[in-house]
Amino acid sequence: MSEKEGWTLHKGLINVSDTIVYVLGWVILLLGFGIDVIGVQSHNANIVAIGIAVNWIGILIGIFSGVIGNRRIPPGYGEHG
Amino acid sequence: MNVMEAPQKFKSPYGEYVIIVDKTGRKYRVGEDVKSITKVLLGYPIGRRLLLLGAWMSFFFGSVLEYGWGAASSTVISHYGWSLAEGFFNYTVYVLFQATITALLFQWLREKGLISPRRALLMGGAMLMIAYYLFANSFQPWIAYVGYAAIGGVGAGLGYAVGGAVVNKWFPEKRGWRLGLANGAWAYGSVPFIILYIYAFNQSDFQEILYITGFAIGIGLIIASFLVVDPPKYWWPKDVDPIAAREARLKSRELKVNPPPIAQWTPREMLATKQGKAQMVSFTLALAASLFNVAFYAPFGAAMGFTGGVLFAVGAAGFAFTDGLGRPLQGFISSIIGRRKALTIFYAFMGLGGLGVLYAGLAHLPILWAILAVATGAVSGACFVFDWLLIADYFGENYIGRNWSIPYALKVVGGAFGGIIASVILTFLSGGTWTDVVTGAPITITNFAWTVVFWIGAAFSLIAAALVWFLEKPPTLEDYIKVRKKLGEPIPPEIKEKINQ
Repeated sequence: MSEKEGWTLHKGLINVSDTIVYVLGWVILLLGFGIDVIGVQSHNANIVAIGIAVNWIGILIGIFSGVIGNRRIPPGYGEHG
Repeated sequence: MNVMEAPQKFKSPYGEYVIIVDKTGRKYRVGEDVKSITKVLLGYPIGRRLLLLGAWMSFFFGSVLEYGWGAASSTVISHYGWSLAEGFFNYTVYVLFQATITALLFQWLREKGLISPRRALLMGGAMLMIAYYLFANSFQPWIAYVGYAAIGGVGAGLGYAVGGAVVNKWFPEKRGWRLGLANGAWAYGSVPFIILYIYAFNQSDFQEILYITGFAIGIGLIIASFLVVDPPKYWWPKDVDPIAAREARLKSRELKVNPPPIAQWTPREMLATKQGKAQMVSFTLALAASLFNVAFYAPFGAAMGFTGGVLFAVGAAGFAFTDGLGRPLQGFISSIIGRRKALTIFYAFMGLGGLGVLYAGLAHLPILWAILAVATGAVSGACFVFDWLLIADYFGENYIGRNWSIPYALKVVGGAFGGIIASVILTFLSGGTWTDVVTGAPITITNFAWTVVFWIGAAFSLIAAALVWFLEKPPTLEDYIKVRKKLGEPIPPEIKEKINQ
């Protein structure tokens, strides 16, 4: 943790902003949705399975974006709140 | 301001504040304006009314997966040719992801400041849309389990977790009806969809109705995401003196029936008390009975031949409606007669009312069935409201987020009974075999099978009522000291001061 103007920086697993990781999560979630649609249109369970797996990867990346990337935590929040 | 020590002023990006500690050790962060906080964190200023609206919407749009399931289940099961157990396994998976996984994981991330409510809800809205797309196209059951129930469960769970904490944290001095109103939307939010499922959901428009559902609730949750944010820890409104408010409450009539906590208990300390353990068990039992009611009242009514009439719609939608609207009323009643007494009565009524629904159905009395379903609905959500109220009253506010989420995570046990277990019992007691459980062979549920599961639900409710009455008395100072000693923790100075008084 480092501090600047009352905000704390939670260092993530990789040295990238959590916003970028969160947006990446969204992109992967929507990519998974596209694969879901292809699987449903072709009535192919294997493709749907891939689509749902990609959906889940996107969800996990999005929800855990603050753990994966660097997150600026406002004063009054987090462990130092 | 009447404070124990001269408060030191601090500066934050939202303004100046002081930290005040009361006699129980509860902290208050006083001085920062709501709009200043929301402007810094959201980028635009909003007041507490809009925050309440955001919390209400978070509950409203997440509710249909839970409360709409009963009305939608018959059409879904017949459309896909699933067995009762295959269909109701969706409900169990949904509850597992909505409550257990989301409550624990999200609460942990949120308390550490690693995700904002806005980001969580924004993604939750997308999850709901994807979930319903997959539900409308589940040509194999597992697509519904991992696609609809699990993804939708997380999406709805984010709505539930965000909404509850937003009300609790922004209205610390006057939760009352606000928490009940917002939390109640978790049930009555599904009413428009239940009516849609009863009157317009059939094989010809199966996909369209599910697409409409997913799109409407997904967009709703996305809009809500722009109206939610947490205040800083221990925030308290600047125009209310926390110590004076506490003193006023101490003198109020409500104090006699709902005394404030004697200390601020950590989750570990809470679980070391008999009240904490009893709350875990009674909440789980009541919740199992409640979720059974939510999932099976409508299918039971349909099995008794009530479909097609207005009374079926009244019973099915009315149950969810009063389940939601009953919650603020329950909070109000408990402020007059006391939390413990009120909760005991509500649980007992839920058990006896459930039996009334059973026998009115078996006697083919649709009017009585609808009246009792609506009446039982008014108490079926009690466990959810009182998990907040009772824990805040007994164990304090400093750790309410985590203390609340521990019993709530046990919702999966209730979801198992209200979903897969009840449907397996119904299948076996109706002469079915494992083959009937795992394949889509149609089976007629016998009256005997319905009787057994309804009685199990009633027994759960009545045992929960007994536990609340006999074991869940407010923890005393002696209980607190005993627990601290048992856990090898020192006695805090404010408690020592109380002992010496």
